[in-house]
Amino acid sequence: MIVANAPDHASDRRRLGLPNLGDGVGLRTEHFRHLMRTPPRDWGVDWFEIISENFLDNHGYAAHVLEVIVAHRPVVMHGVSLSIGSTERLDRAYLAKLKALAECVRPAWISDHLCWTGVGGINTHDLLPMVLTEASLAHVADRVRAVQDVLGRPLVLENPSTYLEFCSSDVPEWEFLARLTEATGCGLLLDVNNVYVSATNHGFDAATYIEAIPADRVVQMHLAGHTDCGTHLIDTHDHPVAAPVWPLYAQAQARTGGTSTLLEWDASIPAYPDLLAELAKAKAARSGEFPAAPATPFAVEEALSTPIGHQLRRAHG
Amino acid sequence: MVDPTAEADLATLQHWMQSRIVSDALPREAAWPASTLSVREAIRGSAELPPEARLRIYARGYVLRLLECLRADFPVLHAMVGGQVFDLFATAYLTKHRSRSPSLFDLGAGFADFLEATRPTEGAGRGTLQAIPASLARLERAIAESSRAPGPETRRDYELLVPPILLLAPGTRLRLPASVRLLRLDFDFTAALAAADRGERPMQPPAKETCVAVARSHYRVQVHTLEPARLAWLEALGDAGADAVDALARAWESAGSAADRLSADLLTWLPVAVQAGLLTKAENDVRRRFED
Repeated sequence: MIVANAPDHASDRRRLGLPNLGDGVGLRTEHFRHLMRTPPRDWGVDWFEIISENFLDNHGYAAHVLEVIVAHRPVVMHGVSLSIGSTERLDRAYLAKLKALAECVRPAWISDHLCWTGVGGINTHDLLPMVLTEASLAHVADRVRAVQDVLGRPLVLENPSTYLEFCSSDVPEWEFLARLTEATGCGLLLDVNNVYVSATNHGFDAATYIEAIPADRVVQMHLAGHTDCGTHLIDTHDHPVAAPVWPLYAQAQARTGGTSTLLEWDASIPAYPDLLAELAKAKAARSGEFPAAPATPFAVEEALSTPIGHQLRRAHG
Repeated sequence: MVDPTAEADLATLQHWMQSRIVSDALPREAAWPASTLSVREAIRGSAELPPEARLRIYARGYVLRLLECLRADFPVLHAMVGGQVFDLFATAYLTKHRSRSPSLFDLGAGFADFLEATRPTEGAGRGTLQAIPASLARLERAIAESSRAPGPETRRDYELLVPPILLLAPGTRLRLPASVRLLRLDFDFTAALAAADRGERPMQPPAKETCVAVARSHYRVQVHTLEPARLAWLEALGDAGADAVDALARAWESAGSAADRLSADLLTWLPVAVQAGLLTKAENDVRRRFED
């Protein structure tokens, strides 16, 4: 396995003792052909992130590609259906499948989102916002501990992009996450773009959020593009990273002493070399060189948060 | 320990929000009646948006996201009928069908049956224009299932690389790999699939009873048009497996005179079927017979 940034064993308290994998991208159907025809040494990334649900009960070409990827690079499993904040019972069958997949993939860690996806047996396939209270914190903490017991490892949770706040919420999100990590030992996937999007939508300061997050609990960071809808931003994952996000990313990297970085791009997915060109900006940003990002795209209707249609694109040999 | 009263409030809020999202997105759905919560009681407005508008972001996203998934799952149907008509079909389906699975792949499982059940009945029998969407959706679902199922790629079927006549010897058990789907359709979609592959708009298919096997080989799914007797023989084998000669007898029963030449036909077709991923061995019978 080739890892550009060697893990720092001198500070094991950081990142829950997990390695800094370097810079990675999401494994997407659109890039399978390129990856399978390119020698692994020329893949241009240190690691890959998979959407866990894409590989549950999947024995087709995608599973074959994953097998090849796992043989040459670290892989992280990132889920979207854990629904950790739901008042529904935990889906034990889903957890068993997740664990079985992890036994094959041997991921560096397993992550999902601080959110709920449905109640009443329904999955909306959206990352719905949590009400942030003492009661919901206790509720989520109970469930995180239960999930960690099943998986046999710490869970890593991502801050979502949100488009509303509940009247009854009285705990800031950054405090909620900090106390959750303290209560459960879970890790954080700090999505810097989501911090910026949520900060814009709710009127808080993004830099304050980054400063308040427990730095030693951050295991990974996400970067992605968003869309400006005039009255709010939507986390569309379909454009380059916006200019204001880069200084926040640099701030977060400086606070954590270096953390795995993943570029998310889930709609209007560019060719693999273009994806790598965007990822390369992360390295420059860590050095204080903030890229001249294109203007944030503007849309009024039809901007879709966290697109998932790419999960169903057919992959074939 | 979580305060049960607070737990109930959290559940109420989540049920309320979900029902509002779905009912706003799909108007025929009723909002969850157990709560009299108003939007303004539950949700804060922002400097830019009132609470109702913020909730609509999620409602709009709910249906857009699932429409996007169905378009990806049924790309040929989407291309053939066009985006507007497809979205009408898909929205109607989503009104009746809620996803109950962690996997998006299960979302479209019932789409073909839904289209079949809801197509206009007057002048809309088999082979008519109105029957095309359900038939094509059924084929596309089979293609999607074939692409994900356990397939023949991980097996080493050396035992099948023998003279075909030995594969038809009594006691030889063959079966369909899990990646095979057998269909009897009322249309020939061959040209439509090819057009979609080329990025062109698929034209209306000819009405024609067509036997089809969807199979995967080397991780590539193909749609094979078959003679009725061959399909009948594959059906007789099934995924549990059967004696190849017994399956011949059952194929004769179902395919009638069309199966008269089947046993001779199989001698030339069997190697092709194996290569196409249509067959695999059910037991190690062939090798054992060789060694006896």
